Amino acid sequence: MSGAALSYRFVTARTLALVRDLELAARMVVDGMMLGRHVSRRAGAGLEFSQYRSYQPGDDLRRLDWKLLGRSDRYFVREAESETSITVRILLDATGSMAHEENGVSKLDYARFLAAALALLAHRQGDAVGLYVLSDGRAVTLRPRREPSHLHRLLHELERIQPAGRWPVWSALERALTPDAARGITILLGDLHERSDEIRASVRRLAGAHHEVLCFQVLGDVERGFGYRGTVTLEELETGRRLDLVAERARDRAVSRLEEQLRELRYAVEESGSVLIPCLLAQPFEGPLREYLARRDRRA
Amino acid sequence: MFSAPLWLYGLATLAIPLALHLWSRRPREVIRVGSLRHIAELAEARSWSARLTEPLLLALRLGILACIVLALAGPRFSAGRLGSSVNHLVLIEPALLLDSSLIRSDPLLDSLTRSRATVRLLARGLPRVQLDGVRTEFRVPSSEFKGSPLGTRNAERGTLWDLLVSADRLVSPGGEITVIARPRVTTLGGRRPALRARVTWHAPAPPKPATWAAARWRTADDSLLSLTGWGDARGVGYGQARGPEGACADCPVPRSLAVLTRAADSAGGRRLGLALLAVAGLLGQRVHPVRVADSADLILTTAALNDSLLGLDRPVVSLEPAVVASPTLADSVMAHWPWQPLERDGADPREVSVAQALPAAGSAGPDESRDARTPLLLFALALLGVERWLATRPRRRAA
Repeated sequence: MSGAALSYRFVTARTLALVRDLELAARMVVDGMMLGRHVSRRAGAGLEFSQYRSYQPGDDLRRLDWKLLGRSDRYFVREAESETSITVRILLDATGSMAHEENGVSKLDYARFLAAALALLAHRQGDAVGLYVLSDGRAVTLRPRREPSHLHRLLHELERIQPAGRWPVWSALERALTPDAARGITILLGDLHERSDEIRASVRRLAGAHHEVLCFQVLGDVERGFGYRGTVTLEELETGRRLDLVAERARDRAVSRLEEQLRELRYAVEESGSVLIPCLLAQPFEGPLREYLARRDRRA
Repeated sequence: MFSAPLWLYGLATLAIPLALHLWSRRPREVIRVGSLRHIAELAEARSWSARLTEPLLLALRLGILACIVLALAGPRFSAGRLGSSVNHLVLIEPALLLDSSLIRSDPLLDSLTRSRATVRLLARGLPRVQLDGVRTEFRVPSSEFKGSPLGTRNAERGTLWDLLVSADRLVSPGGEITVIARPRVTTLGGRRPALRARVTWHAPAPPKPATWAAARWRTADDSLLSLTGWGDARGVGYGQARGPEGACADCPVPRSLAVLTRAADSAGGRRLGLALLAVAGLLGQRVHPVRVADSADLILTTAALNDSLLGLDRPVVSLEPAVVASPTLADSVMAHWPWQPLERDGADPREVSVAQALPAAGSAGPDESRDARTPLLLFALALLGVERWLATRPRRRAA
């Protein structure tokens, strides 16, 4: 790996926001993260070379290394890592609350980069990747496929997303996900702010439909620590409701109340057998990607 | 009216909540967040400036400040007016109405009747007087009187100052009161008030010397003893006259009543004398003791009357012996007093100068107005309570 890739290892969303090309940004993230990583794969037919072994009767002649035969006059079979493909579904929360922005980076930007990196990672591993954008009460679907053109289409779709509306009702989500019966991982990217328990219910139902659900909860650092100062006017993005507060006076209770809500959410998610991984806007993408890879390998 | 009007400059403090209100409504940066669900319940952290934007709270705060400033300025308001304000009020002594010739002969009264000024009687309740400009007569509707007509009893007339203070309430500040009356000694008791209105006193021509019968009693079948009062602008006096029945002789020499007292012992006699003095003083009568029944005008006794006394044609006040030792002896004497009390005040014709009768000069009004500080402060306190309740009540939780 080059020095450039090394520097991308801890790349953050703020840095990536300067990169116009989402695919390039995704490559920076993935290349930086994969630096020095040795993926444990089973040997077998595949694209990546693993080892040579002596030819045995019955072996597929197409796997015979003819060049080596010419040089050594011996029969060797070229072995590659055996790949187990899975289906990765990326559910991207693009509701109004994802427009929350800190230091020039919105939650949607972060989720967009993370989704692109995940899609690229999955594509490189030969997995089928699908995208489901949850916005304005509906789900825009890009069904899972493995073709490189599909990845480009997916990245293009990610670039177009604008935050709007609220979380869709379960029936809309179910319509979008049901045709994809293949086993795999369902990744939910969003801030997971609920009005009641609609997201918890969705995760529960997805888990009930044999999805392995991985929830990446994207929160702002300031939002998490209520790091506002002085008298502030807060406006809820999805409802437009406003609240004037003295930040210093509200901080302790706001933080503890948010932590309490997050604990309840985590408990509800994990109760359904799913995983919730918190992500902060200022944090590098490596952590969430590694978490994904660990899950993916276990699944594969 | 304010007793300390300089405090009214404090009304400028009303600009403070108003400015804070406008300042808090200035456009400021809005932080857009994903969810307010976890902080919607933090009512105690709500910004005070946010609450400044509420118009009702602003109005309450302005009201509180205004009440406090006004209370400091010492507002006073009139206890009540008898009617709508007038610029010129004419008060006429009731006695003048009885003498139509006086009215006709007085040029001021004549001009007032022609100018149709607001005229009231200088009597309790200030009854309205209707002027008949054609016939130059006054008529007082009976419904205007509150008490006996023309205030014949002293208790119903009230002092002149009381009447002027009441009349001052009817006159707008800076107005004028014209009093047409004879200022008498008996009506000018107490402290002269300072009135808002300018008072002009017009005293009609002095009355003729008067003589009246204070008391009479029969002394014999053909004679009458009478106690006669007399007076003119210089003074008043009482005298006793004895003459045939029907006679009304003037007795210009004042004289006190001669009283013969008889008791069982000397102590009782002294007690009777003291009671007699008390009653006489109360009735405005002078008395002196006599020892001979023939020269007495009144016999006051606790002993049995002998023939010599019974034969006399004198008023006799005979009391039970036990009454002498009673602390109510004077009351018993008063109850048996044979003559009517002398109405000294009503009959006293003595006058004072107009200058002495005028109220004190000054712009300050009579102290009939009520201090409004306490009600204002209480009102401000009530407003403060409402304001605190509104400002600290928990907000409705968002759906």
